[in-house]
Amino acid sequence: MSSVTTATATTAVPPSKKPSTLTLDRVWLYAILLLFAFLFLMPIYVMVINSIKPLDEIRAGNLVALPLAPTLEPWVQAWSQAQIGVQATGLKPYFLNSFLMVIPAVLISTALGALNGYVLTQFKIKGGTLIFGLVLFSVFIPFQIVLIPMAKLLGELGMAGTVKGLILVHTIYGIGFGTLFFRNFYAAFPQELVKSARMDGAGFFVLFWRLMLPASLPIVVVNIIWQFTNIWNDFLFGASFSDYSSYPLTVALNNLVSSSTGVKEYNVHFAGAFIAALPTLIVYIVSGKYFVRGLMAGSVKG
Amino acid sequence: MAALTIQNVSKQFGATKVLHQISLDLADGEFLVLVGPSGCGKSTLMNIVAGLEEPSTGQVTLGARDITYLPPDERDVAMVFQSYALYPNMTVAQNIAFPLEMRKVPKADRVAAVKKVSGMLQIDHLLDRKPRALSGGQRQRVAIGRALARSPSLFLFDEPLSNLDAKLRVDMRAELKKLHMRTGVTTIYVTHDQVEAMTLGTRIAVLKDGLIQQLATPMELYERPSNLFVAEFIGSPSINTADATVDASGTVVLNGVSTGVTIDTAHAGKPVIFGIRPEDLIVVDDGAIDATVTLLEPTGAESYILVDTAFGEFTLRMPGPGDFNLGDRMKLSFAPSKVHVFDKATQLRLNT
Amino acid sequence: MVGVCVYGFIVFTFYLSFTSSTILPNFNLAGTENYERLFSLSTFYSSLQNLGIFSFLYITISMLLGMTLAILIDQRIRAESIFRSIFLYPMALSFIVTGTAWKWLLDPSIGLERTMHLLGFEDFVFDWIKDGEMAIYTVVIAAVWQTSGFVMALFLAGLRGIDNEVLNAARVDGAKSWRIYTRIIIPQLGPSFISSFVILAHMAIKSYDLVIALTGGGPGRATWLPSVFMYQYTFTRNEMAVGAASAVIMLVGIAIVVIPYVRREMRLNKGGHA
Repeated sequence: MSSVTTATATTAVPPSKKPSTLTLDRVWLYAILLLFAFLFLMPIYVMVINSIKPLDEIRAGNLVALPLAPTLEPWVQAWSQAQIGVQATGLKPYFLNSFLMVIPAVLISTALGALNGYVLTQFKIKGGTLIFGLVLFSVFIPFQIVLIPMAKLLGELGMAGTVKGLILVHTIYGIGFGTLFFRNFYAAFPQELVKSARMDGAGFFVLFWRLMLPASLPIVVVNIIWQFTNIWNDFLFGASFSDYSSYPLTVALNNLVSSSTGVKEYNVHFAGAFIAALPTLIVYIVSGKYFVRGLMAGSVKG
Repeated sequence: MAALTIQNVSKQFGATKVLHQISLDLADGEFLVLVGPSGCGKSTLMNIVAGLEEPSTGQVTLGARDITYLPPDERDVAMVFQSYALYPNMTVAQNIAFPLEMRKVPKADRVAAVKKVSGMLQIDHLLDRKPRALSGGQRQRVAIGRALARSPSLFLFDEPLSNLDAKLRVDMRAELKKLHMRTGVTTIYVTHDQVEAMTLGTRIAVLKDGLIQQLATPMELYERPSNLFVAEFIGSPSINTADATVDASGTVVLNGVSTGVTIDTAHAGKPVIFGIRPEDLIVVDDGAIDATVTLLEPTGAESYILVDTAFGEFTLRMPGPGDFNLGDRMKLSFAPSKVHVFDKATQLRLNT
Repeated sequence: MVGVCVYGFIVFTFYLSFTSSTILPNFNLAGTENYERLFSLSTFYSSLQNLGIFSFLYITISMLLGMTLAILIDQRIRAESIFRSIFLYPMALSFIVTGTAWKWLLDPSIGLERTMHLLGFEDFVFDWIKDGEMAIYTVVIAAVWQTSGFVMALFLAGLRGIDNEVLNAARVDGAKSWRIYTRIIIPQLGPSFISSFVILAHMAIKSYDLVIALTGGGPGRATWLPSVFMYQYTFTRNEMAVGAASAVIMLVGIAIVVIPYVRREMRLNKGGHA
């Protein structure tokens, strides 16, 4: 026999045609997706274009029309001049408050979450599973249930109505999430590595610091993103525990928007909302799949 | 029951050509094995026949129908996957009946078919279980049952035994062969294991890099491999090879010693590769090759003996425990008719 | 430490709900008086009712929409990641931002109704947000917009976890696309259904920010949810004990949904390694 057999001399059966890849089904598919994409994008589109329209245009025209005389005035207003509560300082100071509140809270809660996760997975702890269950449950609780006692605690610590107080609150409640993220990650960490490190004499901190932490960079990123987004976007704690000098941005925004006196400056509202949304949106766009991992880790496996 | 023809089928993924101009004919009822190393294209070819992928060029016909672009369900082909691919949310009975359900076979007939097939495969006591409650071997039978229930014109097996442990694999191999003898359905079987290929196929197609290296019966492949790759792929332990030359008269010369094998004088002076299978090396007092024993591998029924020669390491196959010890010296010989000669450059067989 | 702040506080609030606290915590026990008062308040009842309507619609629509979007995107779409990003970005936004945007979008005087009028549909009416009966449905709309992307992500992960060979087997067995989805894929998505239900349900009960921003609880009290009730009664109306009681009710609601889930997770994750 030769290396490659030759085909039979004649083709007894007439060949069939290659079907086209663009079928009606595919067209429908894209159409539906595009429709939904439009619906999803619409609010932010409205928000942006209306934030650069002068007020009379908004009142005279309709929300979806492009601005005829675009102006950045509403943005300036929202940022530095708008009336928030009793002061006309715009959102700037509150933007700062949010930052001051978020950054320490994120860093500390991530660090502690990592430590907790590490301890829970690498050491046999009596009732380790129960602790896991308790932590898991704790991230689901309605925060309303802790408002009152927390207010009292902050009062006793002298932190009521301060940014420091907010940092404390967010850190505490961020630890729960962090613990979960890290626990799940470390539970899947290859045990052989840990065992061999232990045999080489690594102790508690060395194991954590030199082996597990460096390997957990992706989950650290995920955690930071998730915490940042949640804490920045929080409203309830902000509204309950801050006073007008320490409002986080969300509370300030709500104040701006819900003021029932005077003329409703829609464009300023939209500008303000967009300013408030920018940091988390940027984080979202930049972090892409890490954001998704955070979402998923916060929910389930399998 | 139908004859399958694959004509000039090729497959390209972007710039990578996975299959080059494959053509082969299967007679009705034949058991063809596609064998080759990983990446040779055998699974791709299988997918094309099943309808899970489209060929870039070429035609596939089954019986009188051109099935090249038909969707899988219209081809009357059944497939058993390497991972069995059972539906996890259905019971064994539902799994087996599923293809019949899809073809709107009435319930009574479905039940009968399930009963018949499960009896044949001895899984009738597992009908109410879900796949996760089954062992590997049981799952595999369910997968076969699901394919059988349809009485298709063509059976496709994609490395079905690879995930089983060694002993089970040997048992299942025999069962598959018996099944084929009983049902007589035309079958294509893909594997990377050459022992499976040899024992199961009526014919074997050896593939490498998307090309059929040789298409022949098992014994032909073994005794007359058409190129070096086939010679080395089929047969365990592998064929022994050594560099050799061809003198003016066309005789193959090994290290100055004539092998007694003559080929076309057109190859005179060209380097060739001399090949001899382990069982064809004979220990004689006046043999032409000097050898020293370096390793003994007894397997029970026979032994593989590694020896050092002037041309490198050779393996011998001897029945029983073999009568040699490490360091023994011996002389080897062989019958010229058992020699395989390959051109060193093209790797093609040169002697008939 | 976390234990204290979570469970300690829960106990504290629970205790409070049995006291006669008004502006400040008062530790005199008052029996179940607060709960009785709670349930006698029509505002609480309407809050619960709103919650029921809202949760049912919100959860059902989000799950359907999320699953549909996931299935659509799973069809080997070009620009898949762009579509995914578009559907998911609302999750990055604060509920306040969402509420603000939708508030004006749905406002009859400048939003949808007015736009339709300007486009010529003079008779178009869409004043739900100002209508006591219908306002709660506007909350549903905004909430679904915000979190469907998340449900989609969950289902997409579930879809992608399904063994591709099983799908191939189904194709060879003769199942058409539609059948493959209903008989094989969707039954295997059980875990995705469960997770999304638990998460959506607990978000529904906790919803506060969105309501405040979108309708302020109004018109009047038409869109009060228990979360709003709690805040109002505790901080604004100075009836702390009643507020505490309502918080406890909220917790119970969440516990009912979440505890089975937590127990399941605990079973699947027995302890650590060590």
